[in-house]
Amino acid sequence: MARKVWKFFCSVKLTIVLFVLILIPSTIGTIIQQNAPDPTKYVEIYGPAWDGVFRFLGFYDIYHDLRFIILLVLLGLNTFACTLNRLKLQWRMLGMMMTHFGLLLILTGGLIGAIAGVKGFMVIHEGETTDEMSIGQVSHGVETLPFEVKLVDFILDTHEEPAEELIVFDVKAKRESKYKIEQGKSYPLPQPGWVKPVSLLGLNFNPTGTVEITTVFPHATMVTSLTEGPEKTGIAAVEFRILGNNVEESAFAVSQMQHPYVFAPAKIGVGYAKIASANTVDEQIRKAAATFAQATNRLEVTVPEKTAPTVYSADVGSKFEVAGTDYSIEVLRYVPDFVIDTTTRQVTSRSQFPNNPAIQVRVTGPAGAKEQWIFSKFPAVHTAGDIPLQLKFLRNESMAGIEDYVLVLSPADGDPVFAHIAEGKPAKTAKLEPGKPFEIGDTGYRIVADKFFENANMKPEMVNRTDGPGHPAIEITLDHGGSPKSHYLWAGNPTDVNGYRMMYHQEERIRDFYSILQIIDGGKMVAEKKIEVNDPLRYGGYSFYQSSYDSEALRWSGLQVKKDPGVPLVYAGFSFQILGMIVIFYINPLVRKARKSQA
Amino acid sequence: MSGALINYSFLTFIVASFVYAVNNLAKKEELKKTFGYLGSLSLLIGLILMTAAILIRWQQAQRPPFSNMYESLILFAWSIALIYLVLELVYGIRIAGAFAAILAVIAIAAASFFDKSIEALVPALQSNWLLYHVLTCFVGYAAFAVSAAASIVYLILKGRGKVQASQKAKAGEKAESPTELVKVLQSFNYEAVRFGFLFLGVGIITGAVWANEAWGTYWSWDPKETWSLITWIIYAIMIHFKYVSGRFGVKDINTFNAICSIVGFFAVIFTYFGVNFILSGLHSYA
Repeated sequence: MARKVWKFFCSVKLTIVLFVLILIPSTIGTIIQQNAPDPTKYVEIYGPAWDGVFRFLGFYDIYHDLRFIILLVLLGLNTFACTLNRLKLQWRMLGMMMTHFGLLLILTGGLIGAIAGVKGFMVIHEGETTDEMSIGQVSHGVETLPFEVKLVDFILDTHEEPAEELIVFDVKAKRESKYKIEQGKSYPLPQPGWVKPVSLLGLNFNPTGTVEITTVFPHATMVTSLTEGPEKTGIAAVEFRILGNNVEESAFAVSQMQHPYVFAPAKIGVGYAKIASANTVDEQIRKAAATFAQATNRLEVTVPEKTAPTVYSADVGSKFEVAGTDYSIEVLRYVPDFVIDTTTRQVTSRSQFPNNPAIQVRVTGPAGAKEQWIFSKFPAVHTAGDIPLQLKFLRNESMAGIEDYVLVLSPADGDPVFAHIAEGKPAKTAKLEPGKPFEIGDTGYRIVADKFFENANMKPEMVNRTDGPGHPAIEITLDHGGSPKSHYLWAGNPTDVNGYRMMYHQEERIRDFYSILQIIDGGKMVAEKKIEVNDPLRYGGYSFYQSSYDSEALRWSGLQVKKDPGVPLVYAGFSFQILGMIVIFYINPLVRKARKSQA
Repeated sequence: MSGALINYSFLTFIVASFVYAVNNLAKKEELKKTFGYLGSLSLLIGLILMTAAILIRWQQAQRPPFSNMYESLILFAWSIALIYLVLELVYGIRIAGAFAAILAVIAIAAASFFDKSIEALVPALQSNWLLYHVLTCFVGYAAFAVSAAASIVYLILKGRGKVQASQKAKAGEKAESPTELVKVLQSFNYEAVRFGFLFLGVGIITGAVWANEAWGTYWSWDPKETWSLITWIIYAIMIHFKYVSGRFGVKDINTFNAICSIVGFFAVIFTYFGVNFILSGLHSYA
């Protein structure tokens, strides 16, 4: 019996069979996503029946499945038996011994690493000291290191100029091209694939038309001016000023516009409506007041593996614990029109209009605190970190960010009126006389209506203003049959232009990032090192690798922590493998040749 | 400058593939010889032009130019030409030349689809391991490409009945005669595979060591890693198979090897492109 087993393990035939058997799950693991962060996704993709089969076969974590590990162990035993069985102390066997011994060392080292190794992740804020790291994905737990780690400083080294390009996607043909931003330069629009190889032969033609980078605005501001006519637009509007606290802000409200004008410093909103009859004034005011009842920002939190999301207040200062988890969330900031300066990483609001509303939250969990921005219009953008929660910022768009609301009503058969709505209730109504100020409750501000428009013509124009907040933008000219037309593109804002989706993309070019770490053991600082991606800090059997960082405020650093006692064995195995192959393939034939010629 | 040299080498490789084809098909001894030399010469000129282009780019970028799809495809074409020429020199046969040259042409044509501007390296790639890892992998890939070319030629010859003839042929024939040719083609294929096996092995190992230095994990079963291992195991099967072919009932080990080389090369192509465009993982930047 024992001899039979031994013979079974000795055969090269078994090796071939094992190789083929290992290939199958290896391939499956590259096709099916392994350890998906959201396991409910599997049922969605494969349906409940296949999901059951795949789960039973261990396809979702196939490389750590016992059945796969058994295959590897069998390959190890097979190699061991084969080598031992053919063991003859002869020079020509040397190479084979080395490769096979190398393979055994690698498999053994891997096994030791899997059993005795530790892999964790730690987030440290600048100046903070910690000895805790989180293990695994969500709630697998926290492990304590036998010493403490301090993050002295985190440094991000960037290239001065951001990387920028114009990305043009031909929606119909599904072709994309990227172009360098260079004022005055003209490029061919996305072309069919065969054009490029043909142009290698020196032929040049352009079947699609061109796009020109006409003007580059590093600090663009869009200025909208209003005129009465010449187009009969039918758009009614009122131009007004808000006065008070040594500020005079000139603006306008449009009757057809969904969002009111918002004067952010005092949270004053101004809306305008043309109505048919003076009799409905009171009703209009009541209606406007009613929309305030739902005028709150909300934060929807979904915990994976739980179906129903929970909704919390998203007002600045709101702080709550997420039920059923170790996480708590605090709302830090709100901006109506998010924009980030790529060099200073300062977040500001491009305008007071809610074009891109975002809130900043601090999520505190087992791995420390992490700050991130959540966008109401881009629910997918926030998935930046290792936080296993899905956060959604829900807004009641119409009255967001407004505390005092001034409604200008203009009845067709009577005089216009100002109505002030405070705390969601009608407060004061007064007849509107052009040029005469109207007190907006106790806000300290007054409003003056200057001019009414029946057919307002809005003319947006891009200007480069270095004094204002400004945001990069470009003007492009599209020429593909017909007369060339120009369009404006804000950086980071995908825009559809005549069947092409265009985006002026800017990205900070990161040269490198470093963390200065100190190891504190027994109350004493015993090691210090500036680590970067390819250069970890090693201490006490643990290695600390630069992994991620706080991309917004640069206040924390994410470290991969690893302890793997199997690595020396694996490395030794690598060396034996390489040396063995060289011996078998190139030294043995030389020796054989030399012997032959001697004989 | 670098781009223009690549265009010239592209033209030279196209010429080489035609000249090699004439060499392979020609019946007259004289013609065969002349076109053989011309084929080798044009491939060599293309190789020199490409070497210059790569060195110029290296100088311009101040780093090894092996970091994106464009650069790697150029390296791939360069390695194919180099390894083929070395094997041609060692074995003295030109029959796989046309296919090898066409593979190099395809690699350069494919490179033209990608952005060829020189970009700064992302932090993860700023390491000396980039040079060792990418170079060894691509020399391996190229050796497998050459072995696939030789295998295709072998299967074509077999299909035309020339292999059968070889078994009855007498000894003492010239290297370019069909008989010797088949034998030589087989060692040519086997030699290229062993060379590729060694280099891909070193490539996987340098990748593992690099990953351990950069991330603390020498093996994470990411799709690119896994597929390079799958490729390596396919060739491991081929190398071990000769000891047990009889026990699996395989009589024609040469045909088995040829098929194995071609299947293996498909795995190489998938490791190289498929993973980048179909699957995703740590290598998403390359």
